[in-house]
Amino acid sequence: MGGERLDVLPPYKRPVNTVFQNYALFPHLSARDNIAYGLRVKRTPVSEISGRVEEALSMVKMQGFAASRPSQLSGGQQQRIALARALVNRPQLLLLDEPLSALDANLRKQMQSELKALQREIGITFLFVTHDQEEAMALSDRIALLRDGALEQVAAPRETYARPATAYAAQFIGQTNLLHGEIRGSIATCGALRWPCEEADGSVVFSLRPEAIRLSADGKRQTNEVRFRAAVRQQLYGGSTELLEVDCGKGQTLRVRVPACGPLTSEHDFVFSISDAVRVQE
Amino acid sequence: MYSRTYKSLVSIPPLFWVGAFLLLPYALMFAHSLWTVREGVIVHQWNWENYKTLFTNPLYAEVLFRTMRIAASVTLCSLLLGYPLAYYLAFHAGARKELLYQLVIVPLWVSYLVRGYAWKTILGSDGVLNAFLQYLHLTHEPVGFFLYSPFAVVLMLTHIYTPFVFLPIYAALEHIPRPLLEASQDLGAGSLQTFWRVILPLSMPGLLAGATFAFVLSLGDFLAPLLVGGPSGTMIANVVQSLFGAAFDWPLGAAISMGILVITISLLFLGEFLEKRWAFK
Repeated sequence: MGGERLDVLPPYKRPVNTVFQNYALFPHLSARDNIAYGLRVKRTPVSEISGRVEEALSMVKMQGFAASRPSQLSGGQQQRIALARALVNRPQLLLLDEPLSALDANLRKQMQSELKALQREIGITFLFVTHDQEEAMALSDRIALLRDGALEQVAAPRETYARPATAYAAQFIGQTNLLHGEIRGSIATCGALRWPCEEADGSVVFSLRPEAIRLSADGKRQTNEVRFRAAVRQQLYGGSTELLEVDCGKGQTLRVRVPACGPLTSEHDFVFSISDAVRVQE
Repeated sequence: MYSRTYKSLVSIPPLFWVGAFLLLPYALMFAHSLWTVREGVIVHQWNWENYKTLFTNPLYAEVLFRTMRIAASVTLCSLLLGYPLAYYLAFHAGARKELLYQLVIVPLWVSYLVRGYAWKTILGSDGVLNAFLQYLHLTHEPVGFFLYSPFAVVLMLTHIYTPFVFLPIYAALEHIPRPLLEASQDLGAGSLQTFWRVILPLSMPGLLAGATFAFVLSLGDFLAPLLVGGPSGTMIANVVQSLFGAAFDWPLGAAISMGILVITISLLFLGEFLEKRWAFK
């Protein structure tokens, strides 16, 4: 960080603070004393402590709970105190280790937007660990995708989604169809699908997002589009969209997400543009 | 839900137990403390004379204070030994934890009496310690004050009660969630500050329980002073024993017992009150 290695420093010397997964609030201390802990440990002047604690409490909208013990607070409230306890030290970097995983779905959504707003307000870097792809997409400026401890891809959420570097990244962030096939003589062939592709010959994998495939209403075919006929095998209604599982022949099935359109049966024409088939590493 | 009959039935054995072996003996003891002895016979004549003697005769106060001093020393020594031991086992022993834990527990299986005689053998004039010191030419004749002194009593009781102090402290330390220690470090505290601000307060209930054990058990101990205490190491339980035995003054013995009982019960309540104050969820 800032050109210095952090891993060689003992944890208590790093200019970093952490919000722990289960908050790890000190059960014998009130919310106020929990927040003041870091300041007291660093021998901050007493006159300064109470002001900064109040400030941190109001930052997380918990002014009314200063005297409560952690056991008297709900999960969401404990979460806010844990956040205040870390931020009061004015770290250069805030680590959040799956901080929302213990909250129910509604509270989680609410805390997500609050966290994002808070980060924008104080302007320090948040390093947010999560297993929830949606959460990662919604909150982050950059996603670092880890697989077995190694970085798979580091990119902005939109970039990660639109241009996944690997098959793993494509599958992990959102849904996708992985098309295994080969390129020969500038033609890509994946099962029943073929389209021109200006790349070197050899076997390839493409990622094709379900929503990149559309039902083709008119029969017109445009350049840079791949058209195919497939039978609808399954239809999952999802409110505004429907998820179809279609059979293109040769044992190849694809997932297609289309705007809600009522029940579909038998065979239909589908189309996707060539640029949406993104080549990924195996 | 259980029926009323069932509930009454299951409560009979414990009630009988408490009544026959606790309340009745205490009532008898209290009654005795208000009687008196005349010409070698216990006379059932109600009076407060025994309690007056207890408060006016300086001999009893002296022994009582000595007993409390010894009990306090034992408590302190057991804490000083037991806490670091429990701390080491809970946080740093790693794979040796199980073995060390057993080693702490094993002495509890050895008879109290055997351990008492062992100390006699170690501390006596021709004992192991004196022989060793003379072998090293550190002393030229046996050191007398090792055995038959308050020091010997404190030593022996500390040896016996340290496991009792260790156990509740160890349990308390084991129950401290480890992420709390990480959080403390993350907030900038080194090991010493983490101990002082997190570990010690969170182990306080265990520490108080252990201290209460050691103090109360030492307060009523009678064998250690008998075995290794000598005249200068006599404790209040020995006085009670001799009053019930050779001196044949059951009423005065009972009065002293009531006094010890009151002190013990107050201490237990105090201990419990403090433990509750320090308790956390």
